[in-house]
Parts: sequence; structure tokens; C-alpha cells
Amino acid sequence: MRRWLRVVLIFLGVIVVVLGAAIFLAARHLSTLAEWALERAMPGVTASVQSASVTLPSQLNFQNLVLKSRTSGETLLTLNGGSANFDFSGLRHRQIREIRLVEPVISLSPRFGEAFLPPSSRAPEAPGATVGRPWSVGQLVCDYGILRVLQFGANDLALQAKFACDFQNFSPTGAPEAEHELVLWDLSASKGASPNFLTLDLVRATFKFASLLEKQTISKISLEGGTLIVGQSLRELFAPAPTTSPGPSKASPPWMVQTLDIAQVNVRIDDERPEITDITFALNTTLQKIPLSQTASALGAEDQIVEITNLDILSPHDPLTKVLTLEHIYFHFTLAGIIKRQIADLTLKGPTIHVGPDLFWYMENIQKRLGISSAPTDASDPTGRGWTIERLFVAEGKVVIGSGGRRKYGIPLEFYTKAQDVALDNLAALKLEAALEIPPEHYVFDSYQVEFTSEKGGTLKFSYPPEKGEKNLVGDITLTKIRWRQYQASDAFVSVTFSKEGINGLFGGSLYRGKAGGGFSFFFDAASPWIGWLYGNAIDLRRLTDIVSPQNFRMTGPITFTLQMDAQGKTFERILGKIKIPQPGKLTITKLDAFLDDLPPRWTMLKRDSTRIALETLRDFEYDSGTGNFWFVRSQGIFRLQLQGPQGLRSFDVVLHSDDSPQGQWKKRSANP
Amino acid sequence: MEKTLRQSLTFFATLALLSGCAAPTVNLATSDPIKVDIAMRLDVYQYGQKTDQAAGAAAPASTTTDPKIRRDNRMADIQDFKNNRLIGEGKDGLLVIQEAATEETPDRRDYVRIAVVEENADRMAQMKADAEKDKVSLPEVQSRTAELWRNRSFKNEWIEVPTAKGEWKWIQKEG
Repeated sequence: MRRWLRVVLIFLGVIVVVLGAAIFLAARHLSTLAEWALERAMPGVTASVQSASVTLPSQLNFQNLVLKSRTSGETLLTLNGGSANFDFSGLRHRQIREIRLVEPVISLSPRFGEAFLPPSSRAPEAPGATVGRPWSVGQLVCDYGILRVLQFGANDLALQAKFACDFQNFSPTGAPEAEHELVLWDLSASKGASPNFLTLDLVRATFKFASLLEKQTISKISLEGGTLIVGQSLRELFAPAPTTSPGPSKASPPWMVQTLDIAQVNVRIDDERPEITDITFALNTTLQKIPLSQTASALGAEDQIVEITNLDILSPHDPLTKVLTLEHIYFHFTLAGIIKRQIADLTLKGPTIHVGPDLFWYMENIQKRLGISSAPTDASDPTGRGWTIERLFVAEGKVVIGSGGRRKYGIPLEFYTKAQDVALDNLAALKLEAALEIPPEHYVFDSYQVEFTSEKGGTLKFSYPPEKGEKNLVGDITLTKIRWRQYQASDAFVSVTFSKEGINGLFGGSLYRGKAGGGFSFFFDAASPWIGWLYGNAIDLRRLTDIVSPQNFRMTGPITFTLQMDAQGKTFERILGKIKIPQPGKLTITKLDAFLDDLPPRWTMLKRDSTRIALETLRDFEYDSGTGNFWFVRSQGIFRLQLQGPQGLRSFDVVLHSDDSPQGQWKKRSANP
Repeated sequence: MEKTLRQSLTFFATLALLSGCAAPTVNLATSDPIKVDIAMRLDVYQYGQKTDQAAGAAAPASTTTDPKIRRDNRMADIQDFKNNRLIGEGKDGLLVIQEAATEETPDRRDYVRIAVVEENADRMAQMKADAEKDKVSLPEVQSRTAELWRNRSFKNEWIEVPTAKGEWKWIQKEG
């Protein structure tokens, strides 16, 4: 009996010693034990833990944990530190009560999910791998962590974000399906060492663990605030994968997002052209079933409509000068299309073209850049392609003439156009193949006392023929009627060419049984100087003089004239012209009738009769031909008219004075010969 | 006595004979209509004009202190000179007297010379002010001013234009 008792004591002692040794060894090699436990919990990984310690009674702390894929050896997760709370009964059922990650910095591999896959759904196991039922976690908590995803896939995608989570019943398998929410903020994404193409203020990802692991599906992602730069990085990221390798593809099935909510994410088009880089718009949309794969086509074909308001494209030389104002822009596109620089519909409502030197500098800059970019490029490289618009519609367009200063002159012309398959490069260079159409309308320029009616409308065309070296904008309009002050012409046309130096115009039409026409050149300068010239041929003098001075005099017969003018803004500085009356007519100074009727009765008969004879001689004069010339500087100048008729010569010099100052030698001289 | 009586009878007999004849016709009409050449000059004064330049228009061009008003007052004379091809627009934004001025009377030549000197002084002051305002060099302002004057000149007015060789020459502007 004693002997048995001694044996038992010795045995117990040995057991205690062994247990003590085991506990001692376990305590000394806790990290090894942790590694073993993690590998049991996550059969798809190999784990390494730099240090681990136990805080009694039931907390395991660890530092520098690394999980690697058992199949590929790829690092799936690195964790700076954390703790796990457990109880022994739970451990028996492969349950951990709580895992709390304290300020972890997680470097995550996209194949991280493999760590949790049950044996049936993961990649073929390595021979001799130890597998078992996955563990479940009652609660996984992280109040503040940093998540890093580096070298993701072939595109070397890098993500960084801060995150927090509180997952309840976090169980890869077995536990009831529960929705979890991962909150990330201050997220940025880049391709390799390139600048960030995406920054997001706040991201909420809702998922079910089973769907995440087995179907690569995320229930919902909400993006709030941030900037998406549609540029080189994004295009490369979603470019079709090269098909050089004939072997079986190792690509994972595409990740799916059931619902993607995007709110107030600013989209900026990075096109290496400042005026396009400045195009920023807020994206507010909800997309359903978006595949997040490596190909652009998988991004989804759901139609999106984005409106941009009050977009100004500024001068390359003067940030205060606009060259193009776009009041409303409606984009109709698909995400797949926008990655490929394709826009299905683009509607520009109320665009304003600010015609001035800056517009043409802008056009020149664009042209230079297009010249550079037109160098041979690899056709398979989508980054070398320009933007295209399948359907373009422009409505209610306006033209504003800007001089060298800040003064602007609005032209009440509206233009519109429709076009298909427009290359945005051409649009940016204002090289639309389809001319902007000016609709038929009645136009009024109150400040210039001009109005005209067009029943056929016209066109406004940007012309950039490189072979001619011309860079201009040409507007043509056919006018049914045109009126300047009290003068009215019909069957008229106006053709205006806008260039860097200024605006040149030609016009013509029928005027009082004859033909009239002319032109003008408007120079871009602070004082808005311009010159004009006008000619008339076989104009009916009777109708003309009835308008010019209906109560004073009348002339008949046809008149031919030429006229030049030099003006600043609305002020005529100088006018110079010649007239010719090639056919017989009659001059009647009707104003003299009033004098004849009011001859003073106290005058003697002889004086009255002689005056009457003289005035009547002057009043009525039939002529065979006549010539004249005139010049005026502001409100002064000379008009000279010579009429030759059977009854002699009538020579009139009308000298217009702006004051009664005797200064000015010109006042003492006659008009020019 | 008898002789006196005979003379009286002869006179009265002749008178009686003449009185029995018809009166002779005197044709006062001309084969061509009477031509009357009339030349008249009508001076029109516009006292109601209240434009910018009118404020200083009453003051002689040489006495007012505002160069803009002086130039406005001088404009008609300058145009008269240009119409007669006496002056042209030079490459430096200033007026230059042309050869045709030498054919004018000495008084007229002096008048043109003084007006051009005064106009150029006012133009130069304006160009210096523009250079100061735009922070660019005076030659640049002169160059662009000259270009503007060239553009604004009327047909047949004298202008100085650059040649392909980089030189300058005087031409009469073409239409």
C-alpha cells in the first residue's frame, strides 16, 4: 500500500514537474504556441509572432504578428500588436471571446481571405498541412488602426487608410450570417509611386463574412467626400490585361459591390492640360452591382448623369480673363466609358465664347500640345487616346467680344450645334467639324441702334486650317433685313472673322434700289478701336435724302459713294468719304420755302422780288452730274458738294464747327479738292 | 427862213413815214440758257455739343493743360494735313512731316510743323503714361501704338511699315 502510495506520489510529482516544465516551457515559448494556435485557427496560413505574453487570468498579448499564405508564401497580414481575451471553456469549442487590436498597423495582402477559407474552398493544400475547424471570435474590436495595402496585383496598387471596427460574432463559418461594418477614413490610393488618384474622406463598408470570403462580394460601400482623379493611373489600373501569357490565369474572380453609394466625391480629369485639369465636378450617385475587377469593362455599364455648372476656362496668360464659360454641362456616361475617355452624351447649355486675344492664345496653346501629342503612339496604349463624345449638343450659345481691356461687348447671337463622335481634343481646340448654327431670329443691338432679322440663320465656325496658317473663328449669317438708325437694307449678309489680332467683318445687301456693302476691323485694344468702310452703288438719292433730312432738302437720281471711318467703341473719331452722282437729278432745298413764305413785308417790292428770284434760283436746281467729298473729325469737319447742270454750277461747302473758336487752320480752308 | 422851213417839212415827212412802218423786233433771248454759278459756304456751329472733348474745346489747343483735350482740339487740323498728304504715321507712334509739305507756303509749313511738334509731344506724354501704367518699356508702347495707328489709317494716308528685310519704308496705305 505504501509502495503504491509512493509510486502515485512520485507519479504526481513527475506530472507536476512535467506540467511545471511544460508551463515553464510554454511560458518561455508562448509565441511558438501562439503561432501554432493561429495556424490551427486559420488553416491557410503560416504564422509568426515575435513575442507573446499572458495577462492572467485570460488575456493573450502579442506583438509583430505576421501571417503568410501557406500555398504561395505571400505575406497576408502584419500586425504590430494586439490582445485576445478568452476563457478555457470557449477555447475547447474553438471560440475566442474577444480580440482587441490596439492601434494596429495592418499591412494587408489582397489574398488575406485565404487565411480563413475552409479546406474545401481554398487552394489545394500542401502535403502534410494540418487543418481543422475554423475558430470563431465573439467580438473583434479596433478603435483606431492604420491599414496599408501595398503592391496589390499587377498594377502595384497601394491603399492606405485609417480604420475602426466592432465586429460581433465574427465567425468565418458556422456562426449565423451577420452584417459587419468597417469604417475607414482618410483613405488614399495610388498606383506604385505615382501621386494619389483617389482620396476619400469617409468609407463605410458593410459585408457578410461568408459572402466576402466565398463570393468576394461586399454588400455596400458608401463613399463620402474626397477626390477621384481620372487620369493616367486610373486608366492604367483599368486597362485590359496583356495577353502575353498563354498559361492559365491566376487572377481571382472579380470582387463585387452590391451597392456603391457615392456622395460629394469630386472628380477631377487629369489630362495634362490645365484647362481640363481644372474641370472638377462633384459625383453623387448610387451604382448597383459594380464588379471591381482589373478590366474597365467590368466596372459596369450603368448610365450616369453628371451636371457641372458655371465652369470657366481661363486664359493661359491671364487668370482673370475667361475664354470659355460653360453655364451648364450635362455628362451622360458609363464608368467603363469614362475610364476609356468616352462620353456617351455631352450637352452644353448656355456656353459663352469670349472672343479676344486670349481665346486665340488658348487655341494656339492647345494646338501646340496637340502637335506634340500627335506623335506616333502605341495604338494599344489607351493612355495615348483622346476623349471622345458620341453625341454632342450645344444650345443657347453666346459670343462675347472682349477687347484688350476688361471691356466686353455682348453680341445677341445664339448658336447651337449637334455633332456625333466628336474628339474632345478637337473640341478643346475649338475645331468642331460641325459648325455652330445661328438660328433664324430677330436681333436687336440697342446700344448701336442696329437690328436685323434673319430668316435663314447662319453659322459660326472655328477655322484652323493648318495649311493656310490661319487661326480664326468665322461667323456667317444671312439677313432678311438690317437696320442701322433709320437706314434699312434687305437681302443682306454678314460674315465675321475673329482672329488673334481682332475681328474682321464683311457685309452687304440691297439698299434703296441699289447695292451697299462694307467691312470693319475691330482691334483688340483697351480703347476698343475699330475701322470701317462702306460703299454704295446706284442708291436712290430721293429715298436717302428723305430719310437724312426730310424737311430740308431733297435730291434725286442715283448716287455712288465710298466712306471710311475710324472709331473707338461707339464714338466715331474720323469719317472720310467721296460721293459721285453720275446721272441727272434735281436738287430741291425745300427749307427755302419757309423763307420765301416769310419774307418781311416791310421790304421794298424790288428787294422782295430780287430775294425771291435769288432764293428760287438756289432752291431748285437740275443737274447732270455731281461730285463731292467730306471728312469729319468727331463733331467737326467739311462737306463739299459740286453739282453741274444746264443752269450752271452749284458748289456747297458746309463747315461743321464744334465751337466758335477761330483756332484751327482747317476752318479757313475749303474742303479737299 | 425857207431853208429852215424845208428842213422842218423833211423831218416831219420822215417822221410821218416812219410812224407808218412797224416797230423793229429786238431779240433779247440767247441760244444757250443763262448759266449762273453759285458757290456758297455754310458754317454750322454746334453749341449744344457736350461731348468729352467739348469741355475743353473752347480753350486754345496750346493753352489747355490736358494733353487729351489739346489733341482733341488739334484733331481736325491733323486730319486736314493727312488729307493733303502732308504728314504720316511713323514707326514710333509719332507723326512725321512728308515731302509734300515742302510745297506749301512758308506760313502753312510753319503751321504744320508746330502742330506736329505739339501733337508728338502730347502723344509721347501719353505713351510714357501707358508704359508706366502697363509696366512695359516705352519702345514697346511706341511699337504697339504705331501698329494701331497704321491699322486705323485711311486709304492713301502715309504710314511707315516694316519690310520683310526688317527695314522700314513709307507707303500710302492701300484699301
